[in-house]
Amino acid sequence: MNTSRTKLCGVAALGTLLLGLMFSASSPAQVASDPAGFCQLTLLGSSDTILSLPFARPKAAWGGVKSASGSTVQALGAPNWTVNQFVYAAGTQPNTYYLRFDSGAKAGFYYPITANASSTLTVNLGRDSLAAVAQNDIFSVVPYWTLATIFPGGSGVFASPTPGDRYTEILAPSYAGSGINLSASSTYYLEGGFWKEVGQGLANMNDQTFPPYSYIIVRHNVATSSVLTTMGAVVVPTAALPLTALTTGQQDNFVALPRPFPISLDDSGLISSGAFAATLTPGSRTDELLTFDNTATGQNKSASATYYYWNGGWRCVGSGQTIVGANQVFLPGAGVVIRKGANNNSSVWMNSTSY
Amino acid sequence: MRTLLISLMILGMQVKSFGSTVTINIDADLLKTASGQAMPATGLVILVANTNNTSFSQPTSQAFVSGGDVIVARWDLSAFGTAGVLLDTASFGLSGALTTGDPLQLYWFPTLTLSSTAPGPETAYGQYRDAVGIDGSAPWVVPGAGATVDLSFRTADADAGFDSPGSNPASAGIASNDILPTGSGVPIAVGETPLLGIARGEEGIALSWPDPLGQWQLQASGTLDGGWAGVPTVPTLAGGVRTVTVSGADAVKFFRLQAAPVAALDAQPQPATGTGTATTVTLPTNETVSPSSP
Repeated sequence: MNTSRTKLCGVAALGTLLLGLMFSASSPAQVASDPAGFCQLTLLGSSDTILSLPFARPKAAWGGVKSASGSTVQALGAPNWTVNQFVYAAGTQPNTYYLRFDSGAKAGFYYPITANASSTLTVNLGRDSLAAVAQNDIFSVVPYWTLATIFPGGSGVFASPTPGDRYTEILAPSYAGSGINLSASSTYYLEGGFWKEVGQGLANMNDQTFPPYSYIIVRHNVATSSVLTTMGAVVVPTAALPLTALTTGQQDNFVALPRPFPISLDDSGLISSGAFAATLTPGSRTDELLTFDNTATGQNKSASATYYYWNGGWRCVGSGQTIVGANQVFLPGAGVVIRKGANNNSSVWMNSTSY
Repeated sequence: MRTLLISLMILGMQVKSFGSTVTINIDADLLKTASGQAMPATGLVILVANTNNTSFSQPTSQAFVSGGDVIVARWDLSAFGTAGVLLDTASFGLSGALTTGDPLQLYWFPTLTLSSTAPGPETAYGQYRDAVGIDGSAPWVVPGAGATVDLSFRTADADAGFDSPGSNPASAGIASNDILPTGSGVPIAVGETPLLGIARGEEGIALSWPDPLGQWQLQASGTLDGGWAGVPTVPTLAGGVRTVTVSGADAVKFFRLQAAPVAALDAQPQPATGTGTATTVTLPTNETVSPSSP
């Protein structure tokens, strides 16, 4: 059932697949770095694009864990970081960083860095713990994507002539909101040379961050399409995507896999990691996966397909009992909604790759 | 008599010193941050001369210059006092490898200050030079001994309150380059792979990696499944960091570094620029110069 994984990005799939078949794979014995790359994404005019970023920003630092205690990680060796060099400072230090574990029991989990000393990193754990972190686990310090770094110099978007005539809007879903079909929590636009937020006057929002593994919506209010060239580091480690559920009703999670190639439902890890609850009866679905078509024009688009897992296989609403697990529904640059069913447990989606 | 001789000697030294000194009047407008805002007045601007007739090296996280590049002037924007506008003066002596005709290039670092000793990782910067000189500028080269020249870099959105719009596009003033991270929590040891950085460059996509000894070969592929082939472009080397600029025309492209075989190492071309620590000469700051009259 499972198709071979063609790790491609966007419309170049066929050509690059042929290219890939023409060459043999590298010898496993050869030592190679983590890959980096770029990918061009089309953002349709007069439309919403549910945009995920296929790459992470390049690491600022990395290393091994010497010890972890409370919310602080001590790095091996003597990295000699400047105190709080990984802490955002408006006007002088535009990046906000997170610590991501790349190996060990917490591989794929990330935490915002709140302070650092010469060899330690203090993070915001939320409700999590570093108890499972072990010596020699590998970590990375990665800057969050921001409005200014996703769209450097305004590339891929259209600057607005006035605050009231916004050519392109960036809509941030309500990541922390409860329920389904939530309205955007914030709207940003580029005007006068920097990013602003609707309702926030002239405040400079260039450094506004977005959570890793979450999508944003690019809304073009003009008929012209644009091309966004995204580039960065290929996220090699496992990605851990937290999924929230409510006891009182359904909950939408606005998620995006940080992968520059298509992934099938079967290969996604949604089921194997226990993050996605199977449905007992098709007429009363538990968890649902909603996908969107970024090649279709229109704003406020409804989901183009809804998937659920029933009786040992992935199904698509409207396709009867057909098993669709081989469908590559996770496309580079496209976000999805995972709608957790009521009375279900919050979970973590562990998505791994083989390269 | 003795006093007269001493006076003549001092006068001679002064004449000699004056004769080997050049003065630059700089007008750069409008310098901007990575996101297109006018650069803060506290930001750092440096003027760099290339003394060995090669291409300019790029700043690294550890050093502003390397190889044959030398810093001949440092400023912030406080002389004029307006964000994005540099109007200042610097004088420096011609000595050592620095000679008349050496190319000059301007770099601006909006998030750094005059006290910054190194760029640091992921610092945004812009750069500009024009071999001929437009908008009334002299050519961007070190002038003859004793000369005073005006170097001008004006963009289409130059501060209308002072300058007229220049011929350069507004985007030319944006700090659109990033210092690629070369450091890590743990120094790169034998057997460890360096971090491959990727960023927009002026002429495409810039791939950079720390590799002073040329132990790694850049490869590219259209997929992550295979098909990796060596990138034939010869990397430039500056401050131990190798950089290759590739076209950004492909819909998708991936890159990686692979350990170069010993034979390939022997055959690798020698870098165009030197390696090692930064070489810095006279560093006049705006503490000792005064701005030109607007």
